[in-house]
Amino acid sequence: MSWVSDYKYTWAERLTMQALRSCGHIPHHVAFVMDGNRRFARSQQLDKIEGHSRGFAKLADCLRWCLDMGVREVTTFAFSIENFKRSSEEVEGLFNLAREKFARLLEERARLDEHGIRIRVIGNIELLPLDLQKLVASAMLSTERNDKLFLNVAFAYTSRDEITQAVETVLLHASDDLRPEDITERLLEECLYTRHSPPPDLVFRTSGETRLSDFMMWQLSTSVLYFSNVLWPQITFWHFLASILSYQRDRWQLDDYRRAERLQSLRLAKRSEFYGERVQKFLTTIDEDRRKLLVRLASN
Amino acid sequence: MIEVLCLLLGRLLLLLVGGYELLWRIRERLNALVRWSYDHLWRSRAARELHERRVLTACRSQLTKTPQHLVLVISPSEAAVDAALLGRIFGFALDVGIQHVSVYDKREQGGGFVELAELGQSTGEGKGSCFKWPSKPKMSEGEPLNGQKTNGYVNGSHSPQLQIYQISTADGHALIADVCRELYEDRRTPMVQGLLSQKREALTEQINAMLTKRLGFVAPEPELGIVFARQTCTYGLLPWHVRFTEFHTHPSGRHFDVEAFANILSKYSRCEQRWGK
Repeated sequence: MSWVSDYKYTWAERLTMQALRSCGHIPHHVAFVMDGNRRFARSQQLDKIEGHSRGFAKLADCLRWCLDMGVREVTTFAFSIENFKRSSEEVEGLFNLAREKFARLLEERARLDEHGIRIRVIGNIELLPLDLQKLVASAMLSTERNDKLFLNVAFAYTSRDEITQAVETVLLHASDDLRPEDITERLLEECLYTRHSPPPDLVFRTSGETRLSDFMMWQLSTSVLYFSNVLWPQITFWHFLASILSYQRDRWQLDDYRRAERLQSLRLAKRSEFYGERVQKFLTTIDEDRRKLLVRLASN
Repeated sequence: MIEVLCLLLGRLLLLLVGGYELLWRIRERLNALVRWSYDHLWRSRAARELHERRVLTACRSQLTKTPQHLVLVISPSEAAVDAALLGRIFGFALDVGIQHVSVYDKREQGGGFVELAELGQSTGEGKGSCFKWPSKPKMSEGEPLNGQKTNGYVNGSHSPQLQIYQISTADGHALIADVCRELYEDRRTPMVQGLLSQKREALTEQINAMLTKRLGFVAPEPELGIVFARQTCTYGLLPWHVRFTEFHTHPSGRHFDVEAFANILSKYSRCEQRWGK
């Protein structure tokens, strides 16, 4: 399967992975900021697009590691809306890479179904070329019944755009049944692209940068942030294990805070009648409209 | 058999990590005690301040860029950050030319939470969360010695003051929800209808303007953040505003002094911001 590699573990890697799995908490949801492709390309005297291609190959390894480690949901930051500022040559190169990979993914549908992998592309996909929109929508629709593993690809995404989209959704889709007091951060969270995903437990950014670059800013308020100096195409299984170990070490420090946040969220939901008919009907409408959009894009 | 071996290996690994953590914490606390003792018991305040000024002057001369807005994130379990330390950090920030400092203190009242109202002078803006520091401008070095009255001016100028802001949890997700609610209540107005008919950027700009108005202060987005915690986490800090903030974690237990501050600024100065390009 091109999106999930057939990585061959050494005995030491396998043993360490089993050790971490057996006695530590494995994060349910890991988000990756795959930074450093171009710097890697420069260091190896390669073309930028080749750097991105190596980056994708590394993503395939990473997804295998996550699958075998027991991580159930992975989100990757593949293309930011800010990246449209890059040269048209590079942007088109990235789109071509995406076309190739999504087309390949559709060919491997059977294997995705076998593993129960669901693909979700989060972002403003209507900013993409029409043919890519079609591929993306097809990939999402063809795997929508899978529920064992979730791969979220942030493409044409920024957090600000996502939050704006959530506000826009409330303004456009809410009928007169929705009252102003129903609009809380709990409701807004359900209008984000990540509506059906839990917040990331661990956010892993490579290349030494210690910023979030407008990635999942709303969702990662309780996440362990892990920054590594390694460039994304050079990441190894040991770097991945180090992040898991770091998460296992740090998560208990955040447990009290997370518990308090969850309690606060539950209280808010109860107070604002989030589980009432009005709000739930509104959320069902959003799900239906989003699916209709995907069907429309897939049939273009 | 393999499972048992893996379990034992896992326990050993966690034990080693736990042991390393314990040693690290002891080392950091001892180091902090020694440095605190030297700063407060051995060295005079004047000598310490002179040293700090030298370090900051050297630091400032080497910086290729200085953040305009620094945000301090204090985790719920952080014990070492108190009003005195915050006051010193404000002093460092002022000395290197930072103009705005926000404090996002996640501790409870009575659990170490620092009220900036006790440190700074209220500006009356931002629902009482904006202050100037220091409260009374320091007399500048050119103060005349002959007791001449100056009406607060020395050689025609005031000493600079830092803008400091107290950020609360309500300024994060909840504030964005408030803005959404306000827009929803006005959804039928030409203004909102006009925004919805344009590209999404127009609505983004409107949300940005409304958030700024609700926060009550005008400051650039924080370029640099210092997280006082054992691990790096945003704790819900201003999700709209910190998208490009460089975060540096100052681990709990480690002594924070002028050298630590200068080191963070140097790292910030060296980082390259590509803005998506």
